[in-house]
Amino acid sequence: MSGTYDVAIIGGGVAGFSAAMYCGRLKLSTLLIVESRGGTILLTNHVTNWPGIKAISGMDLATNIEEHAKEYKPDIVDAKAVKAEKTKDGFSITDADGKTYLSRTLILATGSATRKLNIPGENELENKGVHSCALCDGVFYRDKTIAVIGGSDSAVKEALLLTQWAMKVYMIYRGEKVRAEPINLERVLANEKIEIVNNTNVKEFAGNGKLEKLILDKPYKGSNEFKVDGAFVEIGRTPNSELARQLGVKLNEKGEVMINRHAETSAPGVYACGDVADTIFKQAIVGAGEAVLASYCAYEYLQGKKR
Amino acid sequence: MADKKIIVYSAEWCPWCHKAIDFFKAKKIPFEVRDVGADQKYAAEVQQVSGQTGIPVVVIDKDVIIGFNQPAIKKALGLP
Ligand SMILES: Cc1cc2nc3c(=O)[nH]c(=O)nc-3n(C[C@H](O)[C@H](O)[C@H](O)COP(=O)(O)OP(=O)(O)OC[C@H]3O[C@@H](n4cnc5c(N)ncnc54)[C@H](O)[C@@H]3O)c2cc1C
Repeated sequence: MSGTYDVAIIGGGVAGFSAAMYCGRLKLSTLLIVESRGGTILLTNHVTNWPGIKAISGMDLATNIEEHAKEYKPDIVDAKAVKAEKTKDGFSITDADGKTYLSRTLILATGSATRKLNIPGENELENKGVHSCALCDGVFYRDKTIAVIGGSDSAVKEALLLTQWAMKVYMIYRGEKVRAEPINLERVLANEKIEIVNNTNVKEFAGNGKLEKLILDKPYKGSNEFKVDGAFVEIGRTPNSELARQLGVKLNEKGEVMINRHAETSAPGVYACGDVADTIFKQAIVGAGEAVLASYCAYEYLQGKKR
Repeated sequence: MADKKIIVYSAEWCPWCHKAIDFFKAKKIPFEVRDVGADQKYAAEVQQVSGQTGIPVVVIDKDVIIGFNQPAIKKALGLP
């Protein structure tokens, strides 16, 4: 379609494609701009909290949601959106190829990106022992010793996954207690291959062309040097809120887009959903729910309904 | 393009490996998969070929492309 879309959705993870599905049901002309289809859920092979499906891989869940959305025939552009501006009647979005699209409303579903530790050795040894995706690169550590750095639910899930290959997995966490869902925490504590090293920071990744050891901020078993074959960094994620920033939408101190009960942002006609929003519990089902709300509220807004 | 030798180093669970494989399948371009999870020989080989331990790695003749990097793959294949 050329001309002005009713809604432009930026992002093609769980939230973006859920919004595309629902906008289709509401008969809105829909554009979805996506840099990398599937998004963050691709990082896990084991989703067991999507209602109605006891267990599914992240890849299959993402594919199912995308296929469902495509039933409603949204226009999909595979590109990064680099510029978003307010126009007289709506919004203009420009992608990295310089193409510009117009829409009357905007749903931001840009998710989040892996956060780095920003310590010496991290960039130099990336994929040479230092990794951020257990599902992709865990296979290289069969019968080896590895460290997962972080203490969140995602870090716990990465550690559990890595025990399939590794001989030993250390979870190195700066806090006192790992912050995982109780069900995942139970699994970690019951797993003999996993050992938690708490109240400890990693200061450096060291090695000559490949990771050989971590340098810790305090001794573990008498030494600050911690020998490992590989390390997986899972210390949380940062919201991809650059476009929201350009639009002057209100962000919280973490850079997440602030939304209300209707998935509305501080700018009329702009909605947000999923991991880019300031939701306290970032799970696929939460993002999908917010996406449906955002779609419905965009629909009402287009009908001139005031709240 | 038809006579270029294409190898995709991959593993069963690696999502971006599947995307790389789907890319060649969708374009009906013949390629060989080397599963580094199923065969230790390929795990060692991919490290030698690419100097790192991340997958997918796509080898197109002499071009070694790390990750599912569509622009680089298209360039190596001479596709628009
Ligand atoms: C290791 C791990 C395990 C997890 N396990 C589970 C689980 O078991 N169950 C569960 O419910 N949740 C799980 N989660 C959380 C879940 O993955 C996320 O909550 C969810 O995937 C977020 O979806 P999203 O669509 O909001 O964002 P994302 O999935 O991050 O998608 C963002 C999308 O926006 C695109 N994008 C970003 N910027 C731009 C731009 N400028 N232009 C165009 N496109 C752009 C990206 O390419 C991507 O397509 C896990 C997370 C991790 C890290």
